[in-house]
Amino acid sequence: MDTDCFIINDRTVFREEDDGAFLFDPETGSLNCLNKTGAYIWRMCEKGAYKKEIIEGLQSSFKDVPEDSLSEDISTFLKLMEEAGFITKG
Amino acid sequence: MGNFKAYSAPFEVFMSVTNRCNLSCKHCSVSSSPSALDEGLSVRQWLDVIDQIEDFKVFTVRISGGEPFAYPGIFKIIDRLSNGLLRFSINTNAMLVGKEEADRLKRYRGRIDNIMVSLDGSRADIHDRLRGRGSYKAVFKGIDALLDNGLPVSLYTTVVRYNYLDIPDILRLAKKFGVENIKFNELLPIGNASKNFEKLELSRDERILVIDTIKDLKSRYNGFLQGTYCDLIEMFSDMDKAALTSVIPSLNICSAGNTQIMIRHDGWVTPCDRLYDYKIENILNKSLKEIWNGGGKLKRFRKRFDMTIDDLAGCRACVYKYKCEGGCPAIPFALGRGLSSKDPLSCYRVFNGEEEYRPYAEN
Repeated sequence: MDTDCFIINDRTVFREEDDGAFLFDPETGSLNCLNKTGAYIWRMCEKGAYKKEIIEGLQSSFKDVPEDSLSEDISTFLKLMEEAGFITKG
Repeated sequence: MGNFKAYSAPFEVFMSVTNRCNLSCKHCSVSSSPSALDEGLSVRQWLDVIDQIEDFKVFTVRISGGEPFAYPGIFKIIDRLSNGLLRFSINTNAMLVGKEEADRLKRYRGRIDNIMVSLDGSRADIHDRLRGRGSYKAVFKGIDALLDNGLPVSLYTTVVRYNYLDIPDILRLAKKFGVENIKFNELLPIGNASKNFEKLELSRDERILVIDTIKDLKSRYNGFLQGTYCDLIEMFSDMDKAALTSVIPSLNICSAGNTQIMIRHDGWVTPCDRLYDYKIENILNKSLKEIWNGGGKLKRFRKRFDMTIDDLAGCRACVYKYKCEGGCPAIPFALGRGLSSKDPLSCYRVFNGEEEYRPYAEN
């Protein structure tokens, strides 16, 4: 749903680098690399943005990508983050 | 301008919480002993350092020493690490770990990546010759206590003249213990070992035998058997093909000052545990963040990551330079030759007998 919003797990360490970011879960030791787009989505989740707002924010960077496809990619990413325990649906 | 760009923060910080140790091993890469003066950081200061490490978004801490369990405030440090956003590992000789300590550690099991215990022989006479009488029996008790509490234990063996023939039996013992893995590492001319290096170092023939032994065991115990000897085998595997290429690789981008940094017991920050005397700045004078992002000695050290083998003294004319990544800078540094010189322990010419192995010889 485009009106979904996400709550980040406050035990997660989000560390930005020049070319993206790291997400680290100290409970499990799981360390994930995010590219710049992933890092942007994480920051939007931190702000409590709705999925719709994340899509709108990324559309200017991916003008050639149809909205449906962009929405699907973002959903996949958020699902992976949710499965890894980094976020929960708000 | 170089291309190397450091990460925003280290992945791991080594915290050498004390210089004191219950043992004074001949091969120790730190100058630790029971009589070592420990004018180090207080527990309060270490807790402040951990706050900085956490704020800097480091992921893991490795607690080392000296012997960490000889530091009176060790459990306060472990408590703080476990209650924050960090994971941690411990390097220990396990002799001061009894049932009570292991039981306390069990509470932090979810945050402990690894407890690395030193074992230098499969029998008391071999282990105790390096570590002191009674240490073999005590390490067994420690390992048992840790394993009984479900803690993740691995073993670490420094290969020297006294134990190089014992490698297969040490490995079998490690398997019997049920530890996660064992590392067979080279002796480094650092700390106490630098004073005993000539007595303990392997001859070229002995080194070849160790490499052949580990190569053979590695095929049967892959993954379980680790350490710098495995790295050497990997490094030397394609050297005979060096002449088939003309591209000179960059020097090895190791973890020192890149993904890792060390804080000594006295607050001095160094790029890694091997570069114990390459003191960058003291944590009592500057924050970890300032030290990591600052110029000076750390910046000079990182220049190595933009060098090739041609930049190392004594390597430009080497026929193997097309396959060589220059080894470890801590070795020439410990030998007083600076960071940009040949590492004789990783040199294929030395290994192959084309050059004499004289680590303490003048250039």
